[in-house]
Amino acid sequence: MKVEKLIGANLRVKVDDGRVLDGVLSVIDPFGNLLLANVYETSVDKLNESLFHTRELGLVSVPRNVIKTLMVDKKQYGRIGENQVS
Amino acid sequence: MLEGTRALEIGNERLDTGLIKLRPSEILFDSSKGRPMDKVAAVMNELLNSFMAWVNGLALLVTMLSCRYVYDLLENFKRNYKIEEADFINTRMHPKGYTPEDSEESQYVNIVLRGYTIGLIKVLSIFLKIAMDVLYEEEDITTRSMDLNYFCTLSVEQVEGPLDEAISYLEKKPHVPFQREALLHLMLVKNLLKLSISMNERVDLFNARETLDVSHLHESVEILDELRTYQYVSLPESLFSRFVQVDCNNRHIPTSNVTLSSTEAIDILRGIVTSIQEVLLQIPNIQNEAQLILYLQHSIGEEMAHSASAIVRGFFQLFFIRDDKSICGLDETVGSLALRSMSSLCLVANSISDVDSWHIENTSDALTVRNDCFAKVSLLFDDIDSAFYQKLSVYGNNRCRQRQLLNRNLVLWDSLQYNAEVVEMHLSEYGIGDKLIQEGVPDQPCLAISSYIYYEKLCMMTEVVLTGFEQDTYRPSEAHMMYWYASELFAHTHQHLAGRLKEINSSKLKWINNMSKKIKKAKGPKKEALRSTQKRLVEEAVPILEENLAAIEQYLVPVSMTQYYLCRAVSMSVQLLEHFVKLPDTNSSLATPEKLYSLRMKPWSSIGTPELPPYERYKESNNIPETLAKYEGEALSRMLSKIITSVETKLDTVKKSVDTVMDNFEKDEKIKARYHFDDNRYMKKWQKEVVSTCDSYLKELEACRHFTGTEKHRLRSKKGHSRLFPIYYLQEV
Repeated sequence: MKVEKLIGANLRVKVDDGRVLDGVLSVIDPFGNLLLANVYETSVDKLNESLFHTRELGLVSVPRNVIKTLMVDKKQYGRIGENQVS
Repeated sequence: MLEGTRALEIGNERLDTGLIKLRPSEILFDSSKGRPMDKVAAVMNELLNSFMAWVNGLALLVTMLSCRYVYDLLENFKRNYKIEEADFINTRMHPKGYTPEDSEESQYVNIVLRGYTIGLIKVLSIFLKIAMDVLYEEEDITTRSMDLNYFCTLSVEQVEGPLDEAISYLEKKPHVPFQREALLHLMLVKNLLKLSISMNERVDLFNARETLDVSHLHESVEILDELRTYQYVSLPESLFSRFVQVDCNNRHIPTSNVTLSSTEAIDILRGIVTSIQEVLLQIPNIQNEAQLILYLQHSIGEEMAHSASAIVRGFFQLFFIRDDKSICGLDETVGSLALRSMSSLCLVANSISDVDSWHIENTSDALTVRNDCFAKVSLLFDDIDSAFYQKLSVYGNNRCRQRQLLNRNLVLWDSLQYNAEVVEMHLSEYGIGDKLIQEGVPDQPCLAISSYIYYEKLCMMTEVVLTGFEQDTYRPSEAHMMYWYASELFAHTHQHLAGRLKEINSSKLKWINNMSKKIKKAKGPKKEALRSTQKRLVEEAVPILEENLAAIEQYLVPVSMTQYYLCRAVSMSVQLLEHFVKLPDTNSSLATPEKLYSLRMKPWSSIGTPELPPYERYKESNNIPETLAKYEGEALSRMLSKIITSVETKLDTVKKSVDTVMDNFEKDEKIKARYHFDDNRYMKKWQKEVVSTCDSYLKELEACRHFTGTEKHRLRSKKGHSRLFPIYYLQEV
């Protein structure tokens, strides 16, 4: 699948310091750097480590080198795949 | 695009707020923990400093919100938007059902400091409302709220509960050290909350019998003066931190926290309070529309726009023009003020605004024509209302915006003038509207409305041209050109005042006087009707017409003449100074002087009347370089000296002309009654500014006499005595 197909898809990006970013992929450059819109950051709550804390960050650029894992919403991934077949 | 440039880059310490390093004490700061009163008073003081840093233009994120008490309280409030839940207990740090210890120190924090913080946030919310309604984001103030609710949904009464509880709690502890300081801070906030009431006070403009209640502002000033004398202990460790930047919804990059010293903060707040107090005290003293316009132009548009906080300007705008377009909340409206303004210049008892007096001529279908004319006049007056609203809305803005808005208004007033002329000419075809009465000249329509609009437009144009100097819009080499253009506009203003506007008023007076002849000729009920009309006009219109004529002849005409002389003299002085300068930017320019002239004048080229003077006229009026180019050596020196003397004479004429204006102003009772306001401060200031400007240029010209011609100079400007007239001078290279 071509990576451009993922533009507009909801992504979950885990970065190297443990934070998880949920947002909509807006741009991807040839080096794999991402620009995500409407991003929510989830991290271990600094006040209480047994909890998670989520906050809105808006537009975020994620350099390729900090990305640990990248996930796409399962249903959305399926739809992208179907479109490609058709 | 802008949003894109502000994208937060993950992993980059400069752009990623998630990477801000915080000390454990900053993260685990417990807001609900008890503190001694000295610490609580110190926190109150620092919160005030932080609040003023925000008022001064910084973001909430690095000022008020960087205080953990504020952030925790607002986070708790955000859950259910109930004031009872706005406390300092951080539910992420403490288990459910946690209550702070029952000690005195805990009460200092959870009752006293909580009451203060809630009150201060509500004051912040009042300021935020002002800012969001009428101020410019990031230009006047920064309102980014970080998705928190600053009690905007609560009334002042709801917020006063915890504040009053804190005050009554503290009043019972007179012997606790720092109780006085803390109590004063609470009282200050309580007084500031009353600003929301002041903002909605109603003034019966021009007829106010009572002054407004400003006791809360007076008390605030006293409290601030006392607070200035106190010293505080150090703040609790890690109270102010960048925790909020890491924790809240934050679309911005990391920034350092900022605060002000107590002295600075008190100065700013004192300035705000006293300026608002001044507004509330002065507005009821205004006696008529002319004084109101003077007040708006000078006290608000100039002085306040320069020195007062943006919040005061915002407060004024909301106080002055209400949502329903009423002025100061009572009977006076934008429309009625526009009518007053027209009446105090030329629209007095004009039949155009009195539908009952219309006798449709030259048509067989009088009713249809009457309805058509009525619709046209109504539409025109609606347009005048809107334009007048735009004019009144200008003054509360910062100076740069004022110029921008005035510039925009010019287009509006220009098309309004055209429309007014069309309507008035159309109406005159059916005998509606007053006529000019001139000997030997057949009746001409007086075009009172379009004449008024033209006058307003000319005033705006001169203001836009001259404020360009204040805002450093023109290059030194363009200065003489722009002062010359300003002088041209003043010449038009003078001509219009001394000609058409004077004529309109005197024609109306003549017309009223001539009514006696008509009365003699008339018979029966018509005679009676004419007699009562004349009686009414003599009682109501004649005094206004006489006042208008006095104002035009003794005040407006001499002022416009003085301004004309001043601009002309300054233009010539600057052009003369330019002679001693080799100006690389004009001499080596690739464009011709004519093109440069057209480019500089482009903003005014869209105005229909007065037309932009053609380049030839500009060259003709500004011929000093051409004149001097004809001479060399001794002859050149003689010619130079002659020109310098002639410019000096012009500057002296300006000074004499100012004195004449001031004499008229002081002697003429009619003018005094109309324009004398605030101890005639504005006119005295104007006189001082004009005379000092002339003296400065006389000094510069005197220096020119001693140049040998071998020196190299640059043309520079320095701050003058008037903001519109910086002093251009020669700087040796």
